[in-house]
Amino acid sequence: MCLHVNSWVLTDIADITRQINLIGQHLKQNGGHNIAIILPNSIEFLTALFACAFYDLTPILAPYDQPIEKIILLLKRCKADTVIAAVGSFPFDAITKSYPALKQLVWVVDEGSKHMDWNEVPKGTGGAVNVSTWQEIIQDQEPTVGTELPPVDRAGELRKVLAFWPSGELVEYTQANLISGIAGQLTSVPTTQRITHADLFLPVDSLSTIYPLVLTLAALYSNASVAFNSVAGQTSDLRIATQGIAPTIIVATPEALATTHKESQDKMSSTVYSIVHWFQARSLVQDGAMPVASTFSRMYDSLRPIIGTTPGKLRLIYVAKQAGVASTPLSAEILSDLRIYTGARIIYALTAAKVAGAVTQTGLYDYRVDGSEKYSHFGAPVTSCEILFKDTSEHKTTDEVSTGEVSLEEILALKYLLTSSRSMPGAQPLLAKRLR
Amino acid sequence: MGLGDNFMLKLDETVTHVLGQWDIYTTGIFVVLISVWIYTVISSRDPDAHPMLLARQAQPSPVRKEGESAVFRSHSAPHGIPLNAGLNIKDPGDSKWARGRDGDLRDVWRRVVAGGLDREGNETGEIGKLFTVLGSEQVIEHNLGTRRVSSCQ
Repeated sequence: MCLHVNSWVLTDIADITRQINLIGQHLKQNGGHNIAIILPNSIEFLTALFACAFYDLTPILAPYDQPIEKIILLLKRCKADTVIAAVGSFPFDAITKSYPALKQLVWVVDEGSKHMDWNEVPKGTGGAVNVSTWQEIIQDQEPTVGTELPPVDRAGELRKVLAFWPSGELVEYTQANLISGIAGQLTSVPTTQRITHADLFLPVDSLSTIYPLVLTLAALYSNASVAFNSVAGQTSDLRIATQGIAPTIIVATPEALATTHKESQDKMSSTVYSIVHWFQARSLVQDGAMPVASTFSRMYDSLRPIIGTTPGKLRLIYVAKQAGVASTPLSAEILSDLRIYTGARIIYALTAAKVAGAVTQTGLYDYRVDGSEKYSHFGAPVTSCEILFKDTSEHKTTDEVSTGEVSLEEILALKYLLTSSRSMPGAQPLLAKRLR
Repeated sequence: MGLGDNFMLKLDETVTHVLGQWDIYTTGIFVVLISVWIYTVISSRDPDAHPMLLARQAQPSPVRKEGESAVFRSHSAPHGIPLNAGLNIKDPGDSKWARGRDGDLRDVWRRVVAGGLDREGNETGEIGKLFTVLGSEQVIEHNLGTRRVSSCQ
């Protein structure tokens, strides 16, 4: 049984700073170097990441909710010596047996199972592993300890952040990489639409994916409020993921948006609505302006997808296509429909394994519908990125047309992508075709 | 009779001819036309972005290499200046006019703690809030089948 409590908890920033310090010190003292973070979206996930940044440790963002065999495989690939995981998310015995390199384990205990003693190591197993719980590390210290962030050391080399691309590839992101991704996201939207203090940002995709993580960091840097929901990334139902709060900006998976589109389309299928829809689509595509609510469109407000507790609050949806990863395609028509159903603008980005943040993304004000291609157009490069296309046997650049093959190359700390998309209308379908 | 008088007479006859045939249908057509015009004026809105900007979202470099396309960049980071690679962080005491540091992850958290900056770079004290959303109607079965997801508290 699960109680239905639509509620949220506000965490004090100073308290998180203290947790960053205490967790960072604890990991460091126990000889941690490579810290695997296997957590759902939560304050602890964020705290663990920043603890690694401040205490010179390498964070490894491992996907949550994987079978134990997969976790062990991932740990072996990234050579983790420390694991931070939600308590009970995998059997302790199995991991110590099949992964002897493990030196310490930090369980994050949720409210419901705090009374249990998770430190107790089963006899005969894992004697060498230092097991502790997150809550104990925090509570064992005086409240005054660890309230100040460590002094800045600019001399030391910054540790990389490791993450897994859905194909299983382990990608190392330098901090310069991540920062340029954040900077690109901050400056690639028009000034009036940037993330501000007034926004409430909710990642509905798992933070172990680099694109939602970079956007979350960008929101944090913009001093927006940020909400975490542990079901994010595990459900494709936006209604469930946004229960109890009213976000203004979300980052969602293409699957979640496709589901929302399908459901709304089924619900809003009456002839009268299709006339209203036609007028609103005309406003978007012909006039290039977000449709305003009219008496007619308000009649259908009860059928619109429920994203957050206050209808109309949501203003921006980020969604990304991961290059080379099979995912639900979003066509320009679907995106246009979703703009009408949700009343929010949508940024459709193209991401690549070695690039933090986005490579290209559609303009915030770009509502154009470009034919019946499988994928919508992906827009222009973000400000931290430049792209060019290399010739292939099929696609050669001429003086009129820019075209070529998708390949990726990293130069300096910045991000350069060699791809076949022209950022001009008409040629984007080419990119979509070659990425499938 | 001069040419002008003849013209004025013709005009007078034409106008009288047209107005003389005015009836209920003319009124109807007239009302419809005016309504359409008023609707167009009221409902017409400026596009959010100029169509020209939408058509030319990326900026190609003036030259390209053999076998490659031109290099495309965002209009906000034009060719000739470095790409936008950092957060332009200025530590206390740094010159107002100097280019700031790119920054690293620690600077992101320091900004969260310190609060927002206005255009002059002064702290506004606007600190974001961090929420954890609890509660869900749906129980998601964990793959081990032994544990509820932590949102069901």
